[in-house]
Amino acid sequence: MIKKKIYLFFIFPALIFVLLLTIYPSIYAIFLSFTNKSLVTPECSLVGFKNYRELFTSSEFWRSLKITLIYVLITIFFQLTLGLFLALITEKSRFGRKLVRTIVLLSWVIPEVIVALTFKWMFIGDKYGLVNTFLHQTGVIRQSIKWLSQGNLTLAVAIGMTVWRGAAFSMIMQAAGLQSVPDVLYEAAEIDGANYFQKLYRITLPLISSTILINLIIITIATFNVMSLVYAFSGGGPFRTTEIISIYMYKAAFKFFRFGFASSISIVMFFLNIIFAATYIKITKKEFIA
Amino acid sequence: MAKKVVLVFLFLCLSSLIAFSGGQKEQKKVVTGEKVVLTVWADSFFTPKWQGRQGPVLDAIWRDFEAKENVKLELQLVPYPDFQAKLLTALAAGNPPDLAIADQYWLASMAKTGGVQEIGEYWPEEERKDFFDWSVEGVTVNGKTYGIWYTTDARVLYYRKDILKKDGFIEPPKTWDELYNYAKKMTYGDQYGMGMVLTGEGGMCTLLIDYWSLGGELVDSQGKPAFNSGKNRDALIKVMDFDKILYDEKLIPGDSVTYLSENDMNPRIFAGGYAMFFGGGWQIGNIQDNMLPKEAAQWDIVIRPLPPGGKLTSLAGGFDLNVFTSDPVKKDKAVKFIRHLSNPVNGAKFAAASRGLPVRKSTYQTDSFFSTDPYMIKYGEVLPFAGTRPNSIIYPIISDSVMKALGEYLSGEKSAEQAIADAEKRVLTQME
Repeated sequence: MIKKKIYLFFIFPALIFVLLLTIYPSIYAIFLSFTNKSLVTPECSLVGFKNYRELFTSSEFWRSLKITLIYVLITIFFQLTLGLFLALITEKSRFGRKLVRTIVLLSWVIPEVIVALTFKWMFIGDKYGLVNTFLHQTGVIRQSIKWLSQGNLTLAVAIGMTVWRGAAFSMIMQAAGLQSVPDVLYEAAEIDGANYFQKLYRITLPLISSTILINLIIITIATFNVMSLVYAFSGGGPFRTTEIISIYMYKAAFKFFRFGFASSISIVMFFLNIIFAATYIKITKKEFIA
Repeated sequence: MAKKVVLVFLFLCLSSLIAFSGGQKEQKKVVTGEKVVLTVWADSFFTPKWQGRQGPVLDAIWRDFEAKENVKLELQLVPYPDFQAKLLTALAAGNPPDLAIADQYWLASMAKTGGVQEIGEYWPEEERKDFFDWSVEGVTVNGKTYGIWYTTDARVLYYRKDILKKDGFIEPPKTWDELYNYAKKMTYGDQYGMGMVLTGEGGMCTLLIDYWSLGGELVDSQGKPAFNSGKNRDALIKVMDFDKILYDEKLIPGDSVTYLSENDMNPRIFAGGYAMFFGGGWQIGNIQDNMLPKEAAQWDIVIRPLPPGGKLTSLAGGFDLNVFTSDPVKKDKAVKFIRHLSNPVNGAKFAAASRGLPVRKSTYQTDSFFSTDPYMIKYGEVLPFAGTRPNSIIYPIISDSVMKALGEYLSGEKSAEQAIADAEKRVLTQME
């Protein structure tokens, strides 16, 4: 009997960590979202749904949410497809596969702030930006592009930067999935006269659908919660056109120290993450598994 | 049996967790004569750990104090971006350091927690008189003195003498009209006539100088937002209008709206992309460190050009020395330490090495560097006209909202009046 229950002994430390570091803070955040807790004022009292009312009636919140959705949807589309593309081409090229994957993976290991500052100085307007200099010298443009002073362009660069950084992770995930597909299926398909795209659509994608699903969930949640990358890149500007919801929450918590209000934003983000994950599971199951 | 084993194990783990977590640490009283250990929180820039000029200077100053006062200074480096949140969290938890070197405009929030110590009685009146008036007001909240201002800067207009001369200007601009005309004439090729920050706290510091110059106030005597009423609103609209003209006519770079601090202009400054810019006192050091001496010498400074009907003014930012320990022996040593750091000799040594500006008036007359360096002489002339951001806990909210209003106006999203009215609504909502 003791032997059977001994697993409890082994999971106990992990359980304690999860309880203390995940469950307790989550419950505490829910509690805080119903208070006026601030680091600046010692008084703290329950305020009911006041924070949520302020949040849902704030045009800034809806604007941040809209920007976030645009940012997340475009990023995950390109991150996933680029990751899959990279995984497929590196899978096929036997020569230097490890080298290529290692090089691509470098973008993932560079700290976010360094990536952000590098992109910032690459895309700075006029001749001092690397990108503009290159475009000038190759004759593509005559007038410098103001990458960082026009909202849509800045958001596009922020998306490009996030895709560049995250595609490597996506590639590794998909590559792991590709390795699990038995070669015999491709050989049989070839005998039946299937071309590359038929093999991709009929064999590869269905067989790696679970990997795609996991990848989608991970990168959606990761992208939705991105903060430091965009904050260090643009600070949410110009004119708040890149102020994604995590930056909005960060400012509420660590600039204005309104922990109660910031917690209400985090709870909304939490539920949105759950909705994203549930939707993906449903869609992907229909597409590939059913 | 198995259940019992698991339950016993659970009980042991939980009781050990409770035993080790404890509550707030009860601080041991320090007895006079014992070696006193003082914990100091600071960004590395203000400490002997800094890998630049001021590191060795501060090391000697700190070691000298330790030896003289039988004190051990235990330094904890806290990076600037996390500093305020970490300090406020520590204050809320009742576990702050014994003293800290903190940004001046955080003082109101620290004072509100009740954790920062009043040090007025330890700071002799004679010594206080040597500090610029604004620097004493800047460490005072509700009539109580909560620290000593350590180092400062002043926002001025930087201009390139060679470009002005080439374009036919003999003297730097003194008024907004002149500034506009100069900027227009000197914007050509890859060069912008002006540089300025239009967002974040750096943008607010830039805006405040003109706003104050026109007599604007951010908060009233009750501590409530006042920027959307009467002459204050008129002043704010005038400043926003002037910024919009410079922005719309592309006399400043479009990406100025993404700069969060004056330092973000540095790459373009070093590359020769500006003829003039609104900058901070520390930037002359940046220029001298990063440009060839011949090119760096072309930069000069002057007090900010005046709007019509405006008065001379500047903005002084900087860092305070604040004491948090309430233990009488420690507090005594902590105050001695902050007076040691800010005494005329040590304050001047640190300011000279770190490219900051001293807050003691006498330094600009007596110190060999600050009384002879041409830039420092000019800063010494500007500083008496400086002002500081209000010591109000709603200042950060006002700053963010006003900068948002400026952005909405510059982008054409709203009229200046509407943007300011909405900014006030945002502040009032967050104050509730």
